[in-house]
Amino acid sequence: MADRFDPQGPAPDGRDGGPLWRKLAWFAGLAAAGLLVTAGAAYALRALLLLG
Amino acid sequence: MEIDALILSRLQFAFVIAFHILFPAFTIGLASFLAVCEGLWLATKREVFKRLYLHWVKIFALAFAMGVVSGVVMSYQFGTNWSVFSDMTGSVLGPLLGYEVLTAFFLEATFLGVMLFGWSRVGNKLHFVATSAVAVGTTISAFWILSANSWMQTPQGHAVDADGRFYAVDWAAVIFNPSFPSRFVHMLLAAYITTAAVVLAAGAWQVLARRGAEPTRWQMRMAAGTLALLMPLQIWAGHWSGEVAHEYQPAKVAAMEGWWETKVGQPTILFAIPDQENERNIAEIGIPGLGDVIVGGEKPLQGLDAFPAEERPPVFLTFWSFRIMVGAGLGLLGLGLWGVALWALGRLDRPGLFHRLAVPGGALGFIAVISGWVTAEVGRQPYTVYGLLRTSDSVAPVSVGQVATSLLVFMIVYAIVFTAGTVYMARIAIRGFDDAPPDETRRAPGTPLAAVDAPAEAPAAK
Repeated sequence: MADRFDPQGPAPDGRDGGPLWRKLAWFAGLAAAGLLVTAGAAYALRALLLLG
Repeated sequence: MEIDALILSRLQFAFVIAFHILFPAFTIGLASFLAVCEGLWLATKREVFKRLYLHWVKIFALAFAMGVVSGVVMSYQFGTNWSVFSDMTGSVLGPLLGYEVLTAFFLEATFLGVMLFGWSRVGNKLHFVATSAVAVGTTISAFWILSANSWMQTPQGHAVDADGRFYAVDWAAVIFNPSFPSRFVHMLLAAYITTAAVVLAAGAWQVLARRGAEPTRWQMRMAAGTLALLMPLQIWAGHWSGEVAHEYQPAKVAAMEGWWETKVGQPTILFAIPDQENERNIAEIGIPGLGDVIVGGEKPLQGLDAFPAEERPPVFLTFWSFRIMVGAGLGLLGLGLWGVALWALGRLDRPGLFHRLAVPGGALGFIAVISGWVTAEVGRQPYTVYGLLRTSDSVAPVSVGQVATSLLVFMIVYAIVFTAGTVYMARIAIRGFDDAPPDETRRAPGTPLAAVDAPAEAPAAK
């Protein structure tokens, strides 16, 4: 469990992440997840203004 | 001094921003350091650079998170404590801060996930793209924030409507205002230098603790080399910034230098206790005439007597914060040159006086950043928008009790959260690269503190 939240190193044995389509999919997926988390946090903070 | 909502609001903003600036100053430099380490690993395939990356990326993630949290607070303070300022300048500053979020923060936050959790999945080259994107994002962030702050120092490209509200008429002139280029360069260099000082201090600690390994040696070489290379550039950038301030904010420069009289042959004052009430310096020690040599432009150079008393900044604070910044910078220059000399002699990884001084020297960059910002922000008083909007006309209609209570809460919460975060980062930073993990798990798996017990570098994904 702890490893899941630790920064990850490169793939062992020089495998370098598999085929290109899979690497690009992971790249886009992780980037989109980061974007969504950031946007969600931003809108949640903005929603605090509605409390007033 | 009367304690009112204005002075408390200023104290509160100063307190919050002083904490906040520590983290961006560190992460801007650290993001670039990580990109350099990963780039060197890709280019040379030497394991040492990968180990350095995996060691420092944990600290980067923490510092980034703490920077975000402490930055959000300031956005709210614009509304709560400085609502009149926000109302008057929002049309100019709002878009600049919005661009910072859209072009920089989202870039950093989007690729941070790939950077931290995606290396084994996206491959080496795409991961390097993500690391570089985060590094570029931190730099773009500094660009917009420095642009906004510099517009407040040297406003241009705007007009003012009948109600006194500012609006932009020339965005290029707003963004690239006169003090922006020099202050942006000065701040970026400060960030790189601050990070180099921390990396050097962590390496020196490891050497003193006899836990130095190959990554330790490399991080010390890179940090000492960076300090020795960038500090002369930083002195030049600081002088450039001072020249611009002299042209547009002469009262600030007069306060920084402790000049009360307008005259030919201004001194460079090394020590004095400025006495603002009696308009003089107590126990002044200076070099006569050197001020005229250092500061260009027409002579005689203006002293504070050229400005009405109500137009002068607080002199004691501006004068001493400037000297603390310069002193810290010279200390960093000395550490950098000394470190490079030891490297050349092959003694950088042998414990000695240099390492004992380099450990506390890790704080010098932060001290210089904070004292530099105090010089810039106190020196432009009594204005928020220099020459146009006074600080006393910018504060929100809040009561002393409201601001005092929120300030107290900030102090307590920040003392707990940021002390814990900083101690946690320091514990990771000083850990040796070849240290074996503890025999037994002392902390709950999956909790943040469990990472302290983890190996110095995270294992590659299975």
